[in-house]
Amino acid sequence: MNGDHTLTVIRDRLVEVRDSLGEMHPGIPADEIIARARRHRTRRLLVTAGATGVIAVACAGAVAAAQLAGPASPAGTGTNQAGKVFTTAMVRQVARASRIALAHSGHAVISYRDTLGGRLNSSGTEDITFSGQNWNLILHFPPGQEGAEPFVINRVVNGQAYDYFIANHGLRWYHVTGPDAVSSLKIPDPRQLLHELAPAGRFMLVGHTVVGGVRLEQLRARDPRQLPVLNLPGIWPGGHLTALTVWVDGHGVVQKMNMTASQAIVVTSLGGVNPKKLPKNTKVIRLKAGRHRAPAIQEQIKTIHGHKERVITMWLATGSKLAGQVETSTLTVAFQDIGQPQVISAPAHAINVYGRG
Amino acid sequence: MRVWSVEQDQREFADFYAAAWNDCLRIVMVSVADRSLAEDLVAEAFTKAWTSWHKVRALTEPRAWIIRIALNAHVSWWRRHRREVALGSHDHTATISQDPALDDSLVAALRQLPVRQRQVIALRLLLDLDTATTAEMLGTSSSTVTTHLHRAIAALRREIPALDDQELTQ
Repeated sequence: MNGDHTLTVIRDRLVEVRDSLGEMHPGIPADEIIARARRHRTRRLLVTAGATGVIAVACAGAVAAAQLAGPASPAGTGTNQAGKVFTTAMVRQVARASRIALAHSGHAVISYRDTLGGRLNSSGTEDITFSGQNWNLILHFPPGQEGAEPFVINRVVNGQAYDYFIANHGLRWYHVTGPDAVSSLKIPDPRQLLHELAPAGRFMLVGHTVVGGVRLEQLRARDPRQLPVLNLPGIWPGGHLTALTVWVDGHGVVQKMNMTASQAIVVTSLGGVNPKKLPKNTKVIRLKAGRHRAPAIQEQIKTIHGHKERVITMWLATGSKLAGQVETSTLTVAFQDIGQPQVISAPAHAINVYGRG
Repeated sequence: MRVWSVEQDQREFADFYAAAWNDCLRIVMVSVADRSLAEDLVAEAFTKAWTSWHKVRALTEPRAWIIRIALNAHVSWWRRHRREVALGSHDHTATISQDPALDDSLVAALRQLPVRQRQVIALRLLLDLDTATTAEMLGTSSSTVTTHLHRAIAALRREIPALDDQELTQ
């Protein structure tokens, strides 16, 4: 009996066994298989990124970089991935790698520009350096804004507040010693912006750019309205994001963000109404103008759609006009010296003053 | 510019999963003689397939990739299982086939073969691939596939001498 005959016999018997097993249907749907793969990948990423310090950043970044490059993309041809949608895990990984990289120290320059009805409302630059609990904020003002100084500096070193601005002794450093000296400075934390790296934004890879020899992948949120609007310079809470673009380096760390927020607001001359009389955080939901009566604020409790709500009505002075305008804020954040130690020291010869920071 | 979307990939993968799952499961079942185990191995292989979908979708025969990965996973499973047994040898270790069709002497003999020979049998005889495609799927040469197949047949003949006496089924 030759081998070919035996081969045929074996094949026939095995096929017979196989076919006798009949038709079966998968107990696990394809969606669950995909979800399982994502869980596996996330777990791998977490394990990889869970190591300490530099190793964590490097590993997590490498994974993110691999994802940015895409599994099928030949080296150096990342642009053919343009249009690639970032999955939830990938967006979270970029956010995580960035948070780890910026956990202790860094430097960010925030530039903002705010227009109201198409006209420039305010603009400026905030240069923020942080290292642990120490902070340095340089506020640059364009000519004509915020008094005579082109810039002021707020600094926090070892729980002490310092200001560089014009006061009683002219332009120089002051050591502010009041109880609210540090908390009243309200130095914005640029790392808050990493909250914008949320899957709800549905990020998409749109291309890349090279800055200083470093290749940065460019991600754009397809659904920026789903992302939170943060209370940062030039961005008004209550509006919504209309655009968000993020540049990410090969380690999966955000290097630059560009966002635009917009909100429709009612602009009017209050004509004698003192808005400070309004309770804090009150939303004025009714404005009335052109009535022959004195300007005033009226508060009523009314039942609206079955719920009791507080209705604040502003009676404006006769002749006041109400106009709807759109306020648009554009903010650019450039992260620098990510993870690099920053020297923030107490200024010598600062003059002690008592007050708020 | 090449543009693709996750949604498109998911649809494509789901179609492949629906079309290939039954074939892959039955072949893996014949190879491991345990339905539950085969289902786990195939699920794991499909999970890996989604992770590497861009590579898998481009293959000549993606089902062969699933089977190969499932049988490789079986080796890992067996190693883990054997270690657990070493710690508690009173546990019942033999795989149990829940399907009478798997209680076949040939299936039992097949399980004794090295994993590479089982992969060749699965792809060449059960998935009916030619030698060249089998070699491509296993990442080896055609002559190596032929060698593995001959060794497997020889081993099965030694294990079940009656094979030589059987009539060819038509």
